[in-house]
Amino acid sequence: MLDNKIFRVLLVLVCGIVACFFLVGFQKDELQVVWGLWSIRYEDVFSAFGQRMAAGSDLQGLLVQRVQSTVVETLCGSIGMIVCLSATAFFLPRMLEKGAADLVFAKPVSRFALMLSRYVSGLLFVGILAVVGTFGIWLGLLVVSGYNDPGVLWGAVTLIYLFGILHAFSCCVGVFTRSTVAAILMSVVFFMGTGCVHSSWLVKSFFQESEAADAVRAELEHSGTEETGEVVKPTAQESESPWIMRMLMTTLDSLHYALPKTSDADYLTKKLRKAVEGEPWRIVDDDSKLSVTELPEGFEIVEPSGGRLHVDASKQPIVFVARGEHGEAGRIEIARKTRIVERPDTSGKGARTRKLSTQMVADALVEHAKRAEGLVGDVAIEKTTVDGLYALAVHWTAGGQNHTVHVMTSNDWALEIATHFAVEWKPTLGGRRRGPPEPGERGVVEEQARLLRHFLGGVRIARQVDVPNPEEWYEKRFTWSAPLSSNIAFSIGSSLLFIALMLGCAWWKLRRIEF
Amino acid sequence: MSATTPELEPADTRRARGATILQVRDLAKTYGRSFLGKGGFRALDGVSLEVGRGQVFGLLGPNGAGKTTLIKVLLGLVGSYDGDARLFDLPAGHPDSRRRVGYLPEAHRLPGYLTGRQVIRLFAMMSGLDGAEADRRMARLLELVGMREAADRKVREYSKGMQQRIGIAQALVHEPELVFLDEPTDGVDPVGRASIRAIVQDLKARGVTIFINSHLLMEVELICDRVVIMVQGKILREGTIDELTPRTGSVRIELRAAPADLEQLLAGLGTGLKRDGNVFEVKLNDVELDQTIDRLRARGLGIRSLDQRRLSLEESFIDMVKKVARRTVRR
Repeated sequence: MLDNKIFRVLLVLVCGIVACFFLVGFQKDELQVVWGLWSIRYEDVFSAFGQRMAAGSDLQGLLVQRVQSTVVETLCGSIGMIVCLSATAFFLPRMLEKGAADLVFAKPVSRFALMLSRYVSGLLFVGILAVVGTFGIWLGLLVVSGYNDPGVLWGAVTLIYLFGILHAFSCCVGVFTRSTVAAILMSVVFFMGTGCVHSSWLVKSFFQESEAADAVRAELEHSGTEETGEVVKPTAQESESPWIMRMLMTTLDSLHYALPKTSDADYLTKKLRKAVEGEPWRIVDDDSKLSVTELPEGFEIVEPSGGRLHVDASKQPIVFVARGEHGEAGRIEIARKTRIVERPDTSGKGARTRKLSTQMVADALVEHAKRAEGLVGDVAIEKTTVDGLYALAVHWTAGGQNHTVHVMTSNDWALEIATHFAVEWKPTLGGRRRGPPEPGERGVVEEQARLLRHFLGGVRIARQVDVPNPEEWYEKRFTWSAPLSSNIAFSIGSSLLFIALMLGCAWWKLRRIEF
Repeated sequence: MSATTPELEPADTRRARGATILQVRDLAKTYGRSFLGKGGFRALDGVSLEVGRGQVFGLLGPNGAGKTTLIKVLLGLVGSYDGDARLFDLPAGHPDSRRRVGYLPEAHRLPGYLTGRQVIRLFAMMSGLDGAEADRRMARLLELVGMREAADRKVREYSKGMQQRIGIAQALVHEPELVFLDEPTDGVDPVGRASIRAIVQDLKARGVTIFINSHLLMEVELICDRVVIMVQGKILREGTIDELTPRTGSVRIELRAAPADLEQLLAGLGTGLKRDGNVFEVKLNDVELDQTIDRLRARGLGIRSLDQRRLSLEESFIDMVKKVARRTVRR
């Protein structure tokens, strides 16, 4: 195989990609090209792509993961697959050509073994490239960037798995047609076809389920009962759709079950990566999907207690506390409140509801602050963002504490992130020592503001909570215990069965070929 | 190319010569038959054949006679046939029988990206040898086929003749008891042909049975013990070279010095006298031959050589094939 010219060309290409990871260093704050010859700040990289990142974001991790995902999933998983299919499709047809077949099949080796050897050669072909690629990328990141992400190594496994499915089809076509060109073309069409089927099925199922969920929610709201989220029935709209659409949907469902799940390879990689890395630490308010990804430095968690990471912030706020020399020095609270309020009944038609805007919530807070005991100075209000979401920050000083409350609204909720720092308390951000400020050192207010910015940088707020994109929806559903349509075991099992079926068909045909 | 390789072990010289190792009974093969068993091209039509151990067996026939199909049936490359075909008392195509067979196909194609040495090693391992054993046999085999110098070059750089030699080497590497050579001298120069003939003689001396399919009838005539002539999927004739090349009745006599009145001297003996210097050819029966020799000796003429003229295999073959063609046209 190493004598194969195409293999050597591809190996050189893969080594070229790996070399890039040794030449480009992803440092903490910047990208260093050729070991520091040029440096580019991450903000500049992201802004070049039209993205503004929140302060305190892990830009290094974000960029590395995007680059890895582009290289492993897009470059290798799509373009690379087609290239490898083209490079290996000739394995079987060439063996079956007149002159070559007579030599090989006259030997005391079974036809099945010969066919399987060609199949395994293909897997080895891609396996070596995938292992060299992923291991090289991991090593490059570790050595040059100091970024250790062993999860990327799982990319090799899923690339081989994906290629295993496609190569089995290619072998089958190769045996039936005995043509390399036919094997390449049909395999590429098959790869794209299965991708299209699964994407279409994903979108269809996602919208069907969303519609069904909306219908159930509306029904529950109407009847005044609580939504359980368990009952998801087809909507009346679906059953009333034209017969041709129903037939198309049924065909799509059938194809989804019958065809190997090539698109699931990406999800499998993500699951494997998560299994290796473990779930990242984060406290999540389940209803609003607000999450805190980083514990503020010098603070401890008061709520949720007992190691819980999922909370209902509408009932019990998330609370972090920093202890000073004289007791509690800083407190951060995250609370969620409903912003749906009843309007006064002026028309006599009964009570009606409305949603409070961010400004209304902030105004109410300002009024509350103005009545605070021991208020020093004015209550200030400023426009800002938290994780890109519009927010209003209300600042005031009262009772020996600096108070800042960030107010945001999302769906039916008003979210409040409140910080209460003792006026003389200086946070120890970055592990600096306590004590009076040294010449040139930042003051208390600046350090408190810096702590707050850093903390807010780690807060994530999911927009459109009820409408994630289909990929995210499927990724969440794709588990070992899910229904068959999105079950990992079924996905792997049916794909392996497809491989066996393709090889079985190829063997059946091969036994009947007369050379 | 060296023809003598005293180190190369014979496949199994201890086995008794003459025992049947290849047996075919009423073999019939039709290509392209429909599901209902109708139509198609009948490549073999009731072929029956037996080949004994240690024989060099020639298979002759015009294109499309079924020669290659017969070999492919025996090697299991072609299936679904009627009749019975056995090698080493095993059904044709059985892995155990294939293990004892070497095959050089016509117009074979070796993997061009491998070297000659790698090709031999690959096919040796496919024949059940381990790598070490294959390497052990390699030097002797390369010497045998005259490819020692070029063994480490890529096959794609080889000439047709060189590829043919490596093809022969791969067929012999596992020391088979039966070797099928399909057009072994195809593309090989005259010197190379002589070497291949020598290899065949050497294998025969070691008790290896050789099955040669060739269009070069001169080669077959020189090498083979027995010959089968196939036409239209049937065996037309089978026999030794002598049996297949009948005497023409002509005798060719070379004298030391031919007299001017030779025609008068041999008047009344035989017919169609042709004279060319000291050599003359005439059709004689056995009695007339004796009388001719008596008259020549009585005149004191010295006889340098005397040959009973036979048809060459080529002449005999063409004659037989033409007869069949005429019969077919008449029908």
